[in-house]
Amino acid sequence: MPEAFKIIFLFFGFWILSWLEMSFFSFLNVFGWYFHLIWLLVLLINLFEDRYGYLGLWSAAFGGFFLDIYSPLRFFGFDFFGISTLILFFLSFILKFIILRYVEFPAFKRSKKV
Amino acid sequence: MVSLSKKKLVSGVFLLCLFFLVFNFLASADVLRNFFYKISYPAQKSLWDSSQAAVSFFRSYLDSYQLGQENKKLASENRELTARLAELDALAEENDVLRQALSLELKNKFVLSPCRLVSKDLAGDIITINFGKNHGAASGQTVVSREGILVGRIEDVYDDFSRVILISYAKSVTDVELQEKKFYALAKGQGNLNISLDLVGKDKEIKEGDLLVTSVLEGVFPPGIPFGKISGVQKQAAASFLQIQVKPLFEMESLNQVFVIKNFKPLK
Repeated sequence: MPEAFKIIFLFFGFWILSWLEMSFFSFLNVFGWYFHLIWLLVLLINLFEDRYGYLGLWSAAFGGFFLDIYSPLRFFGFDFFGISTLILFFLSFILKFIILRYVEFPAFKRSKKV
Repeated sequence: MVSLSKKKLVSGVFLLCLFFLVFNFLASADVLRNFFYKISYPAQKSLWDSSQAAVSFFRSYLDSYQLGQENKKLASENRELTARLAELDALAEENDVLRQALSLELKNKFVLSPCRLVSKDLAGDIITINFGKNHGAASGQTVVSREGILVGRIEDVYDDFSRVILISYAKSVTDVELQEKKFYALAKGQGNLNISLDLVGKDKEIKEGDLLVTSVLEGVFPPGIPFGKISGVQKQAAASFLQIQVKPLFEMESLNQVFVIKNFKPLK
């Protein structure tokens, strides 16, 4: 699938996810803990996508944007639009950096014939 | 290639920060939010309805499963409970009549505007309603349920929608009055539809099921609106006040239509 389609798909996917989060998942909690679908998905995409890919950052941008729209966070009593986007973007950036620098996923390699 | 990408990313994050900073100072996010609320309203409305239906279905299924398990135990207590139930039925009927009377009183006393609940926030006890500046909404207006029970107050107002802080919101504090015993207390929201009652001395006689109403002291809400019910009382030797838990009288699963009181001006 071309990269542009994936990005468009992510945009609409996160939009629908934010509706679900504000309706169905607002009733579901385990001992007072809610399922933050957007955060979870952004984290998973960043962890499991190609380590040189940018989809994790796009998902952070879209997820954060829709959180800023539908679930604004107050920052020291001030409604700062973009705070969720920046937090998610920053977290994704750090995650990418750690994965690129310090994590080597185990993979099977064909050994050379002697 | 990697170092070039890193440079690009750092500059991207910097530009994003700059963009949001400029956006917050020059433009208003309310217009953008209102636009997205408006175009997603039909989808969100039907999702909210179906979520409520699904949640009540699962809840009734779970309840019936638990009832099945406890059936044997309850059978032995059946006779005693029948008498008790008859008593409770009479009380429930009386309660319904009182609630209706209260809602009728509200309708006579205040100008109420009906509106619909669109969504509930995960970040806290905040809901969105389809009632905005265009309908006469203003920050601080009181929101009540169909039965005249206090739900919360309007915090952020957009053109067609508003965000309402529920009485159980973590930073919400309300002056309340114990209806029959005529003493005042502070109800503090704890989040997740939980409320605690502060500043109630140990000498006060308070028990589970006691009804709380809004008091005249604060002036944020109209006085006498049903607020919540005492759900637990603990006395601790070290503490100078009672530890009291309160449950709101409205039920989130059935909260669909709410009313905004338009002609009450809060003091704060």
